[in-house]
Amino acid sequence: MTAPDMPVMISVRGISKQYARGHEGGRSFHGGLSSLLRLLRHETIGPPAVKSDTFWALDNVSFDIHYGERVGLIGRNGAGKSTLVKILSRVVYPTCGEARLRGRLVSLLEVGTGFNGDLTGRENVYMNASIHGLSRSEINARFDEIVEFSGVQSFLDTPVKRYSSGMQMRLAFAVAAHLDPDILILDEVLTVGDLDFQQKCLERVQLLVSEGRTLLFVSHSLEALTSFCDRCIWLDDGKIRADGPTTEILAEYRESQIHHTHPDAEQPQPAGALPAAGVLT
Amino acid sequence: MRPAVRLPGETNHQGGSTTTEPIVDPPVELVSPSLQTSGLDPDGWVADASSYDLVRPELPSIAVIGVMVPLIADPTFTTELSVLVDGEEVVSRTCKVGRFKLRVPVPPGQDQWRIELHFSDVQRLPAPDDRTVAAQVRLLGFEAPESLLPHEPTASITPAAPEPAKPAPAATPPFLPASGQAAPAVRAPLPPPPERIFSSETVIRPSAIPFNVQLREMWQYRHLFKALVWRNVRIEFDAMRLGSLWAVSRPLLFAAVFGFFRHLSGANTYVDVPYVPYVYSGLLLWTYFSDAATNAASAVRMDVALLSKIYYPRLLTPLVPTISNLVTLLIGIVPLFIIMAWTEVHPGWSILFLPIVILPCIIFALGLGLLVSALSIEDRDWERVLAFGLTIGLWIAPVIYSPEMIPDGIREIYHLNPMSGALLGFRAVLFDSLPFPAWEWTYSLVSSCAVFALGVRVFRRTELRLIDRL
Repeated sequence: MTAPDMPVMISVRGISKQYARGHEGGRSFHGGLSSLLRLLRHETIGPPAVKSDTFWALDNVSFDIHYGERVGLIGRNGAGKSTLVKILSRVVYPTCGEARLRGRLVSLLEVGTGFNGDLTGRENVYMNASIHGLSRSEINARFDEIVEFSGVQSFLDTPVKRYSSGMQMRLAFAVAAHLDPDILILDEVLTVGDLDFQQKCLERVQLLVSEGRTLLFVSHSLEALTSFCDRCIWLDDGKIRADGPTTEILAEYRESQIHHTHPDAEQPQPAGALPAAGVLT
Repeated sequence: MRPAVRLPGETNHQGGSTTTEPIVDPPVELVSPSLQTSGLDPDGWVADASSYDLVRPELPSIAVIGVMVPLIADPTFTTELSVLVDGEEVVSRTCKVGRFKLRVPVPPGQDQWRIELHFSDVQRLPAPDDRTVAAQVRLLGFEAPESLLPHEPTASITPAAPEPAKPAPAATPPFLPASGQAAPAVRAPLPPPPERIFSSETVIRPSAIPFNVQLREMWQYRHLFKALVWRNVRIEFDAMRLGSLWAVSRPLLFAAVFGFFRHLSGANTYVDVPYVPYVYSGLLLWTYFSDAATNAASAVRMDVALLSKIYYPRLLTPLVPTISNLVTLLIGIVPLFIIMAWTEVHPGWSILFLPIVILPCIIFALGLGLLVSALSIEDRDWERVLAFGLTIGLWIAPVIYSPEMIPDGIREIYHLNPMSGALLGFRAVLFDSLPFPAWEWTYSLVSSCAVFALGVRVFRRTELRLIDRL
């Protein structure tokens, strides 16, 4: 499934991330001045020294993603998916290891990030697109398309706080969908909006991906993973448990979910009373 | 092409029929423009027989029917579905509880078809609905025969446990099974990688980004910087209808109070120019300094929603309020000129240097803001320390009096405060009669830069754990 002749877009080498359990470090008695002194003395604050009360959210994770690959990231809650995505989006630093990325990465960790209720829809489009690194002229070039896609034309000059949450989502995703990334990281964002709009989003992502974008898709929806991804990486307890073609990995994953229920892990429950076997679409 | 169908009632299946979503949901643009139905409730529920007259799209196509058989009481409930196109059965299958999608090629050369759905068994929706239903039609429309997206698998639906699809009778048009193994994705050849991906590489390491890289990034993100400044200004002046009035009211009121008490007391403040423009100009710059430093110090905390989701050079965060607050300063200069005209104090040509003269003040505010925001990641107390310091500073700095008042011996110590030189310089370019404090101002610039450098250094060190901490 890999495309070895294609350039590597994401290269992850031995990435680990350690977190402290509970509140980190605790407050020291020395109080304010000592933190100033420590900041001046130490080369850096962090990465934190290895303490007993810590855990590894990611533990020596390595993989390559090539140009045009569509990779799904699966695993139980707390397996390290979000941490990995946050490291790749450069929101948090790894504790050790190295990752290299090519091109522009757009990570939709949460649709609507940076939306400001006091600004109008129009201003928020500009704001949101520039957060993702677009220049004003780049935004101008796709502004109409974004508005068209969102379907909120008539409310463009209304402050976003007066939008319904659905409208906010639509506008936010519309911006996100037009950012022209080289690497697109999606984290369960396709579950926004009504049926109609979800459909539009899926089509848009399909289109982006068919144009050669590299996709990293984090989802609990096996069905969505099947349709989007040709390869899946299965994270378990911060480590890569399996990495291979989607069908194989998902079959294995499904197996483990059925046979191996963790009493303490929050398993994603099948929605409502719908039996898992009945969820076809 | 796989339209996403999410049931709004998913969590409430037993209750059933609360959906209000349109039942005709276009899988692609080729949705039937008009639809006549019978046997279909407005919320999509159908009983044992229903029919749909579809007007065909321009292109040859495949009819897509999305159906959901509800789980009401019996999880093992099954029903036979047969689909008729123009009276002819094209497919029949056993349906379990759940959702599925059928794709039925429609014969070409017609403008309209009647599609009929016949279910063998029905269930009763729970009270108070009590309707007798077989299924809910979730989706009805056309899609192009070749998927618009070439890489899309043809059999794209993976049930959690594959349901054996009934082989379609040989005589009928091929029924595209709604279940089965996910076909390996067949993809159209990718366009060649664009050049730009080779020219930009981001390296993620457990150490701070090298300073030169960070500077380059800050330049790349200048559009974001502008947008953030614009956001601050917009919010400041739009949230309150009297935005610009508020901006000037604080220094104006303070100036009025100080002016009034000085007048009453006749205190000697050693000011050579009329007192009101003197004190107002001082308060104006001090207000800017105080707001800029306070906002810069809390900027990281305020923008945490953004910082924890998206990467951009973190140094921009405290920089934004120091720049956006300049707008308030600018507005405050208007009343200053009015006061100056009133009291007949005239600026000289040196007023052209005003933007340069206030530089130490901007740099100092930013430096303090960086320092405090880095420290408050460790310890929130530091924001309080700053607020306290700024309150005291108003009286220590030559805001409401002239440094002439300070005895000769300790005036050098007095001018150690970087704001002292900045304030004197500010007034010297405003009021022609005051000499420019060359030494004090230069010292102010140098010491501000030192504080700024320290602030950047400390801030960059905390950056590594910034998001972990917040």
